[in-house]
Amino acid sequence: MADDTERDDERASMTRGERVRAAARTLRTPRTASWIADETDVSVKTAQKYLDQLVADNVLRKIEQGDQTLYCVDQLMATYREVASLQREHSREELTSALESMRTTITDWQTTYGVETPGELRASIADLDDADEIEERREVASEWEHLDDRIPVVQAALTEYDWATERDTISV
Amino acid sequence: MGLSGTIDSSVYEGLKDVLRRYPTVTTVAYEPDSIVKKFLRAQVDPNRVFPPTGPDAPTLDVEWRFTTDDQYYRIHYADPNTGFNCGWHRDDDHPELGPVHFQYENPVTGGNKHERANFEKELPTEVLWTALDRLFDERLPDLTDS
Repeated sequence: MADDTERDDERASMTRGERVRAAARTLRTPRTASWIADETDVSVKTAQKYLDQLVADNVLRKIEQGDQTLYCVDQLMATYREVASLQREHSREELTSALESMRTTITDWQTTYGVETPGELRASIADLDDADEIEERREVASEWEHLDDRIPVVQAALTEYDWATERDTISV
Repeated sequence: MGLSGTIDSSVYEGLKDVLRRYPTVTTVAYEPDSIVKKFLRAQVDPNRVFPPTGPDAPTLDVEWRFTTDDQYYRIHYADPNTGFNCGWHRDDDHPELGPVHFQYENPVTGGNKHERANFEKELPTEVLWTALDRLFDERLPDLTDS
């Protein structure tokens, strides 16, 4: 492996805190501070310091399990932040039309494949021999699952859109 | 091919941060848009890669998905000027090569290959850092410098 020095330099452009903070947002499985420290090449004490800040900022949740303290993404808060950024970055019309388009896409898949859910579409693969058709159905099922995840978030952003916009005004 | 699992858009915030800090990357955006958020696409400065390419900006796609026990991803670079493309994929495409493989295709030399790959770290941001280092420091100079 060449260029180890250069590699360290590039990562060093991110401070230890930034590196732990970026990594922490990907903690879907609860992990200990020492595991995170090992992954991000920082000391356990440093990791702990930034992780506890992120807990205070409602980005992470701290879970006590036996004698271990574990950290993971606070999914509820992450979803609220996601809803807020959709409301702040997009007009009501943009969100409405995106929502309609996602729903139409799903309706089209339901008609095309004669199934109601992505799970049913995946199940239909078992009866097929054509590799391309199998590939296509797997691809669609995976996109469908993603849209199923996004629709409630976009819907939530629209439901309280006016209320959020009102709260978002800055009085000068 | 489609990756297994579901996307968690909060993970993309961390990955976006890594891409934005990488010296060869100029911009990072969600695809197909910032509402649907299926994957991240970074634009790479053709003058900052070695060997230099151009005039069009190469792209780097980053998609991450999760199942209860595992993660699946695709970190894929594509140069529209030469057709060269390569990337690390953690999917079910090549079980004979283990969980992660590296693949490349070079239309200029006619070369293409799938090979076993491994990342020491598990956190998506750390995997991405390592992949970017390998791509720009080793793979592109080795595979495209003719």
